[in-house]
Amino acid sequence: MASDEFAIGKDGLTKDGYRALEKRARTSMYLRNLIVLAISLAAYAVFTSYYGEIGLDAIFFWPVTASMILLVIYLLVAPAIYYARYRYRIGEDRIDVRRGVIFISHEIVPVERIHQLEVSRGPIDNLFGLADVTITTAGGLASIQYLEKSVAEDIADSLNAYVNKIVKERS
Amino acid sequence: MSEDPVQNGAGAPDIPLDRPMMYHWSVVLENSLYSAFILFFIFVLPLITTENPDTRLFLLLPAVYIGSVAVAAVMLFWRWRRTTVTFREKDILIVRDTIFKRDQRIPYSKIASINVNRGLINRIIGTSKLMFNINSSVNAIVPEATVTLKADLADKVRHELSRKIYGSNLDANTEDNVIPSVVNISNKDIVLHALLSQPTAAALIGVFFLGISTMEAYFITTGGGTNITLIIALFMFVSSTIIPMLVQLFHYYNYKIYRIKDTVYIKCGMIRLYNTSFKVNKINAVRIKSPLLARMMGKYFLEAEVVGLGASEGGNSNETSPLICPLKDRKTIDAVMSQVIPEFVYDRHPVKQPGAAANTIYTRAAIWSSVTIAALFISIYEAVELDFISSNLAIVLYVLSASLTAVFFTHGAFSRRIVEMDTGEKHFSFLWGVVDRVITTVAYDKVQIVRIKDGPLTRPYGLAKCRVKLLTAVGGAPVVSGYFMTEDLEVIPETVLARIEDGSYDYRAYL
Repeated sequence: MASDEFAIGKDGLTKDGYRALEKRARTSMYLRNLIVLAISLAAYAVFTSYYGEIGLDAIFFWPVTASMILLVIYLLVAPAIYYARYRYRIGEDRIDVRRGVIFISHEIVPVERIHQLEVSRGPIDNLFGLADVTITTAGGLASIQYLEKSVAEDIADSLNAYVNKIVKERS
Repeated sequence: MSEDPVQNGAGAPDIPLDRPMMYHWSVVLENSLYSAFILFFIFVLPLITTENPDTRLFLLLPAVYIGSVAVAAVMLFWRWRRTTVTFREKDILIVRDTIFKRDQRIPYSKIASINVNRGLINRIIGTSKLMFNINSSVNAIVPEATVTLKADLADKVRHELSRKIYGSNLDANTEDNVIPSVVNISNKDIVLHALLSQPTAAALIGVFFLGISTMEAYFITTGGGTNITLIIALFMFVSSTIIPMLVQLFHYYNYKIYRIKDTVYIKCGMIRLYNTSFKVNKINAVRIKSPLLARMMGKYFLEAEVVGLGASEGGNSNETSPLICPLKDRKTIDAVMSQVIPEFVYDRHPVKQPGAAANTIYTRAAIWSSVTIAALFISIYEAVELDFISSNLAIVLYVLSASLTAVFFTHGAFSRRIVEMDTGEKHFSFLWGVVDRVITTVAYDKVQIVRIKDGPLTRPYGLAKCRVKLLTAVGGAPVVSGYFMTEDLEVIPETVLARIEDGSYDYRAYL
């Protein structure tokens, strides 16, 4: 599924030095998607039961059903692709994150631009011992998701130390 | 420039430093009138619009309205009495001792811009609003502080603070009468700017609704048509076209721009007067814009995206990016750029989208035209089935819908030929747009996050799009490229990082 660009070597890194997520991150993605899937299917069931009664024409049925099928396929397939393509690299000068299912984005944040870091964990993250690192710059937010909790904290600590060093140097 | 007698002009500032001052009382009047206006919609309007309301409401609601306005006025008066501003040696201290206590310090070193805004009430009473904006990503839209003072005192304060912050020693009289504008802009130019600087889409919407209202007016005179359709069409025409034009006209009337040292000053306004000043190092990006009609006449206008230029106070929200030059020919625009913001002038060597981008662009055009036509065909079919439209009209609509394919592909062909990018030493630029075109020039040093994105239509050809996030600013939006080779786009983040690494980027230059 992953091209050479995403292939992980024996050292746990891609040829460009990117890291992959832990396997439990993929399980966490599946669980999230299954919850979304359950809610979507419930909404669809309500729609199919009542669309005639609330005056919607049959013409709405097929577009909604087609959208539902596409959504189900996406929710079931996306975690595997997202996991296989999720790569991040914390360099001395930059944070690089590659991710995506249909569209693959490569996000680059110069470390020098970081203002603030935050480690956050939701209930599903807690279940799997994962956490997200949110990076605040003066131009917006970037994030590294589904990291192992200790890895997230290490990244936040090291970047925070760097940010504090810059602040000290400049004050 | 420092030897210029204008800048080193005499006239020692005469403001009470280190002495707490109250705002001018007109702030109570202005805010009370505003409260009365808002409360009118809450209490009185429902009464007027309700059919056969209870007669007791006619007594009760106006009484509640007057009472509410009185309470609001008393609270505003109390707040005014207990709020002071102190201009100190290194900062401005604003203290409010009400239920919500406030002790705000704004260091002069953090102030990005000081703007003076004089609305109708200010001009009648003889006051000015001083608006202070700092370089903040959180508070980019609303000024950090707005202080209302007597006009002459406000001018003195602005004079003194400009001296402290920008090193300028100008008084209001010198600004108004001595310093010439960098570019000679007549009010005729401003009228032309108001008429032609609107986006083409807005102008087309305006023409559409004007056409409908004209037709409806004609039908009414011949016994058909309805007043409500005419009113709605006229309202849409006025709100989409006339009001934006008038806003531009009133805002930029008597336009004047000049630069002293590293500060740009803009003065304009017909009814409300705007004095805007900002440091050049707070400019993220500059945009040369040319809507279709203006470009056909060889006209362009120049805007800057400035950090820390809170603009929402006093009905100024229309000015999301300060206008550096209204519609003028390209030679004048380039001359103004060289004089006002030479930091953003560089020798451009733009590259067009590569040949492979045609595959992506035309495939997208095919997908979008298929989806749009399918949706329109279904809608037309349904409209015929429900007897909303006749079969003959449906045939016309089917043909028009199908012709959208040509529109999508023509747009794609032009876009392939027009969109370009350029990477210089300190700046990069993107040219974007088919009908209305924009050249955005960005300083690498202002780049915060770069996102390079490819998808199924671009990946096979090694193409991608780039989205650059800059320092947060009013009117600022991510700068987006066209389809270019991924390695060409990666030059942007690499240059940003290289400038940090080799010391070309100096944070002190942007403080």
